Amino acid sequence: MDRNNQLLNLNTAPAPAASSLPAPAPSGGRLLKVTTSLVPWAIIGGLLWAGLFIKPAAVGSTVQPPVLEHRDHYYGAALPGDGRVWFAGSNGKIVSMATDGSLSLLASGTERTLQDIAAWDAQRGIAVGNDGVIITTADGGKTWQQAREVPRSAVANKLTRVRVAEGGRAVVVGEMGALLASDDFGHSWRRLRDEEDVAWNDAALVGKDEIRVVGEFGRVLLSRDAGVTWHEREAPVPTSLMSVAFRDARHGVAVGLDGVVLVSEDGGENWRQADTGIHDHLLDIAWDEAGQRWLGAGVLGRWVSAPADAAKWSVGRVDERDLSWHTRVLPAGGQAWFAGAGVGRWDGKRWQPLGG
Amino acid sequence: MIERIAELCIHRRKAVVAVLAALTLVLSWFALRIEVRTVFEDMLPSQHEYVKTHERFKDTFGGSNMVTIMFEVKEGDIFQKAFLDKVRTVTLGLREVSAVNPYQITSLASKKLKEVQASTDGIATTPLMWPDLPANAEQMAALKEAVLRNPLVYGPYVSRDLQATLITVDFIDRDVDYAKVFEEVRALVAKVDDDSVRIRIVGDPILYGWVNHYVPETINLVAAALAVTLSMLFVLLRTWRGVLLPLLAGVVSAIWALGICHLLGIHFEPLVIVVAMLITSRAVSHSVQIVNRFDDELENIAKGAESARHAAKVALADLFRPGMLGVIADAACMAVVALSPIPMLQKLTVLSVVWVSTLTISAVILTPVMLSFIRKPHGTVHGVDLAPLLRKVLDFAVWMATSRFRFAVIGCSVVVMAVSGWYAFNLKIGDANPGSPILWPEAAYNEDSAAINARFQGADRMFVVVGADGQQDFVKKSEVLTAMNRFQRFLEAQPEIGGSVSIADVLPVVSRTLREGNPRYQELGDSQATNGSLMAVLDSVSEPGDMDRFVDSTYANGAVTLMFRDRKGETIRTAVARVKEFIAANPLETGSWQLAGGLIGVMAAVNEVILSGQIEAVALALLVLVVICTVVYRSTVAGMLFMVPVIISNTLTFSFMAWKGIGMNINTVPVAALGIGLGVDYAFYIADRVKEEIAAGSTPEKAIHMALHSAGMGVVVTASVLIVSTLLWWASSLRFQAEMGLLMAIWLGISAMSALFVMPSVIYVFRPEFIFGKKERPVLAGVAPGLQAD
Repeated sequence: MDRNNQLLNLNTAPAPAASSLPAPAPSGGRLLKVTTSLVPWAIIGGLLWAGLFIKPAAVGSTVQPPVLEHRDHYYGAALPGDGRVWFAGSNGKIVSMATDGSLSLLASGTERTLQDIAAWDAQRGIAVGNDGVIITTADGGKTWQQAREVPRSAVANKLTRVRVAEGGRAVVVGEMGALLASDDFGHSWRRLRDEEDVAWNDAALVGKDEIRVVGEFGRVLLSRDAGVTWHEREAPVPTSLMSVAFRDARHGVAVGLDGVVLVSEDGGENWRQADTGIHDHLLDIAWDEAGQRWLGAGVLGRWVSAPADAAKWSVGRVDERDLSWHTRVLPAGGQAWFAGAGVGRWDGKRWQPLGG
Repeated sequence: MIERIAELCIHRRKAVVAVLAALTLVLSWFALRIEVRTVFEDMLPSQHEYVKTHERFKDTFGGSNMVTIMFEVKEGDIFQKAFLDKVRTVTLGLREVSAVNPYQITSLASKKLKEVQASTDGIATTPLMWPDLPANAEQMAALKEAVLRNPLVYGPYVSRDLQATLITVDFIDRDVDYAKVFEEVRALVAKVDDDSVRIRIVGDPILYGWVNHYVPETINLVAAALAVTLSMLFVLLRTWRGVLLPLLAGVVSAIWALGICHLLGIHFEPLVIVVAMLITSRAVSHSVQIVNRFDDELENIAKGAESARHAAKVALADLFRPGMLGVIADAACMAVVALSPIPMLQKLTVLSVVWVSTLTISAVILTPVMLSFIRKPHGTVHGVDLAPLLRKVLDFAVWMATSRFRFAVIGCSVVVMAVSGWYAFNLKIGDANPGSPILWPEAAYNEDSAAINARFQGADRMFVVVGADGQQDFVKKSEVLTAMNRFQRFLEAQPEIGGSVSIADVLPVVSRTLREGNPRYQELGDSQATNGSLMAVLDSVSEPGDMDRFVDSTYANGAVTLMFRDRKGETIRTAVARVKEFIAANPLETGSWQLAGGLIGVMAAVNEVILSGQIEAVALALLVLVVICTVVYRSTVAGMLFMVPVIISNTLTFSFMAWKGIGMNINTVPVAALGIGLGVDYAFYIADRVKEEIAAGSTPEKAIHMALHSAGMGVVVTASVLIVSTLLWWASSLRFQAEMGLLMAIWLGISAMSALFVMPSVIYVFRPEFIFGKKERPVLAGVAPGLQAD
């Protein structure tokens, strides 16, 4: 560079010989020198190490699933009597809704899908489901115990409904002619009838000893001695009956596939078909004491309803755009809970689905 | 050595120019033939586990080039004949679009959406609306009911409010030409578009189609930026050489780079025009420095015939080292990006390394050689002289470096480095916002994307495969199907995942249908035999290709397809982490889960690669820089010194990206890597000039004054010109280009500021040996710097 300037033969004045800044003190200088010669290599080494060995990995967070998932099916619902509502369904889930609307998952102890749930009181409850699972609670749902030595079929063991009555009585129905009874809050079970290739879909317990059962192919059974002897009655249709309910010893309604509604006024001895005008499957029927009406649920968001005489039926959908099926309708103080592909409350006009 | 090169170049200047002209001519023939297009497969890190899964299964379970078209009705619901007819026209028309996978067109009007029904013979499936539209009100009502009761249609393909319906179509990855697909799909949709309907289209072919669509606008912006650059140079430098030679340098290196890349078989991505601009701005910078130095030298030479040659030779010799150093540092820092396993980045690296390297010829050598031809070097073209104004800025810089304020400057710099370095850790990997970061939020594409994601489960998909190779019927196992169902439940808890679908969703419907429609049987079978027979029933009523989305032909592998509402880096990371969490918590007895295909799957791979390579890229680029400086100046302190402006400019720029929500993704990585080298050029010129002045015997104060008023002037001129011209990019319709323009402007601004204000202070305070020579060494007497005349 200087040669370049010389090359150009420039006339310049000599520069001052020293910097105006004082030089650093000798000891500090040595320290500085050592530092300045070490630090660069440390940095180079550090960069090399970082470049070759630091490989950040993706760190993602997690999300806890909500209590009610949209994939859940809730086949059964119960009112334990203390303002709570229980729903039982997919993969053994039991959800309890408190009076303030908050939802919590109860530890059912099973992963089998539960088909129905019932409660004697706020403490004692029972749920039944696939593969012959029967679970009971005696502490308001905090813990559930699986009943042992439940009679099983070698073929199929889905238990579809459970009905309870005073004194710890319970009757469970299901596949392969399962008709089981317990008198001790669900601890021990016995068969009421032999195994046969029919699915019993529902039972109604009337008074102390009467049981009325409906099932596949329009079959109806009656017992007046708590299940010791049975009488078969003929229904006017061959379609499967899915649910039965009685509002007193004599007046009852059964519903089934293809929109079938059967009415009895003599304790189930004789049945006549009521006309609803629909052909969608009906899956549940209940007597709404507060509303003095029959209320049924089915597929495609259907509801059916009739006054106490069950003569004239009105039909509709809980929501024009929610065509979910419901296997359970549970009247509760003028409103009704529907459980199925979705859970919600229906007040006769508005459908309020639970959990979004 | 350097002088000898300079001497040779100037001496043989005619030969040099002739050779360069001939080479340029030949290469321009190739440069004009370079292909401008986006190649999808180049974006994928082919060795990554997810990409391998994607490549293996994309033909069955769905590729990453899916296009989603949403038809929204303006009044009433979708069950109107005229409306459904439009859906049908487009569905049928899509078969004619190039590179379409004809088996993957799904809509109400396709054969694919069907209802499973029990019949007297067992089970049957009927397409919902194929081949004909509903003929009357009764059929229309039946269609509506069929839609409402089908959970695989109502929600996924028809919106919950019944006001919109989707068509999804997949393309064959290797054949897809984004520009063509974009035009064809838009033309098809335009045929049925009218006031009664609103049609929205999203998907990667459309997104990159938009990018191509804006190429003419981008070219206009390049032209405008060029015009602004040249006119500002004209005003500031007041000579034609100050305008034409930087232009020449830019053009020559562009021709060389594009020509060489065409010869190497590399194509040009429309999105990397920004990188091209960035490199061209380097060419302009270097060239202006040389012209500026030439002008400085002229002032000290009496008017005469030889003056131009001499001045050119001095400029060439003096600036050879900092110029070369700048170019090599840029190229080397950029070369580090080639370590990335993404082919697009590797090719881009080659392109930019070649491009930057050509600057050694076009700027460092050609500019001074051309300068030597100038006959009348004195005089200016116009009378507007802004130099006094700029000198005030430079005086201020000198004052900052030499007054007590220098300590404040260093202190502030350390604080800025620390704070911005800390804040830079907020930089997001992957896209930082919903919608595509390439386009503005209000762009049609992003609005379409938001609308579709609001009404439906999500337009972007990821599939996860569960399977056991060679194990037929693996998917029929109850354990596997249950695991799939649980997996779906678990993942759907993430709010950004709108839904998911797998064979485990379909079998329960078949099971229920076989049981008289009793919902108590809407469940998976307990045993492999039960599931096998359900699958057989389903198979017997399916058309070829119907089951493709769910299982492969031997039932050895099954897919769970997840629908994403956005493609933010955070969303994808969370999803992948949760997939892994699920797999770890629910081990399978046999077989395994494989992540992850589809668009989100490959994006996850790209993001992981960028994340894991990010520290590597920055650290190795810095390392390369330190090593180069150490070697050139034979001093490790030099390496340290030049890291200062680089670290300041990078931490500040990364902080800016973090603040503005600009994510580090496949498009921003190359710009960021180039920025590392970019931050240091200006500092080279200043420091090198200080060194020269000291070597020539100046006091430190004088040397800093000289350096700032000569090299510093070049820095001020080029930085201000380039900042203004890159800011023009803010007007781009492509948000990516606008943001990168802004980013480049910031980068240039910060590196200019640190070169002008920080570097002199640092040099003055720390007195590095490689600049000041051995301590207490007597300064050379008798020779003085060339610019002392003022």
